[in-house]
Amino acid sequence: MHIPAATPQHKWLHQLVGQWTMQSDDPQHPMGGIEEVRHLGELWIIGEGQTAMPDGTPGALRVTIGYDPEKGKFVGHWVGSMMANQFVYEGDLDAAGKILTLNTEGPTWEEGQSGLARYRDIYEIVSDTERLLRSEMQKADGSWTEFMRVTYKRVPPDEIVEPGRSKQNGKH
Amino acid sequence: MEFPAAQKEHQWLQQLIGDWTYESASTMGEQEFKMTGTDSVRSLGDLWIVANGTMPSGGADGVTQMTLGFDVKRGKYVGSWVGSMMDYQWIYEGELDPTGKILTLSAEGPRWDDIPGTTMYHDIVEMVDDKTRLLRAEVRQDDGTWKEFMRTTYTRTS
Repeated sequence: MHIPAATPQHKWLHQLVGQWTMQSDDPQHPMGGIEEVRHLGELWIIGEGQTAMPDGTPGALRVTIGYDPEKGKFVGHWVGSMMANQFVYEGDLDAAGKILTLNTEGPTWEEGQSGLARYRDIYEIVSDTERLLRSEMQKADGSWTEFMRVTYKRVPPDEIVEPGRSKQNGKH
Repeated sequence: MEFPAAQKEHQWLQQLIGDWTYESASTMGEQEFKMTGTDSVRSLGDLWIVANGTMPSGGADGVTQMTLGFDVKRGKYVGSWVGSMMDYQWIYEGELDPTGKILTLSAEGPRWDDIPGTTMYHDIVEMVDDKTRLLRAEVRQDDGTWKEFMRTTYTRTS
């Protein structure tokens, strides 16, 4: 079987590999946690997130991101223990190579609306040790509203929690 | 935040949780391939399962990830499949048969006969008994018929 070689886009994703703390600073939806990002071969990265929801309930998140050269698009997938629907990603990297915008759709939560809305998750590399995730939903009037902003900080190599142990230690 | 409660469709997926070994036979064109490996299936909360597979004997140390859940609003099983040997992401949508034994997952994927474009595939998960399950993969041919090209038997080890 012929295995495709990793492209620059796949290699871009590799910088996300590692252990990260996550912190949302939204006072209404404070959320903290930890995310382990690992390789699945050279073509995919997988992020396993453990969070504590505002009421303390543990949540588990799984994000998968790759790049499809045929489509010329980053592709991926997001599921969380708190939602029964999956989010299928397709998106692009900006010209500066710092901001990956992944488009998707899901149930709207806008008051008075029903059905599906467009969403985008915007992954921004701030530095080697910090990144941002901003989640936006498009409202019925066409405008975009940010509903979540999470700061990720890379866990220094000497502070990495053993895989497995982090599973019980979702709250960071 | 209130989490959606697991439905019977989610509970159905829980029977896949555990560690499995598999033996697989596939046909691509004139060639036949045999492969063995392992599959480790875990829950992600009550609504999702994640299966991590290895293919140590496939000629390339492959690793795979399959996620499966049930989208209550759509009334469909949904999921995804990625593997280290492919840059294409497979997105599933499927249904359980009336006997509750066979989950047929449909996905669009690249043709492998050198003709550009995509075609439809089925991954059919069948629970034979508590310790045995089958996965049959079918591709839709240009005349509309479905052709099985892979059959994998999984045996539970824990």
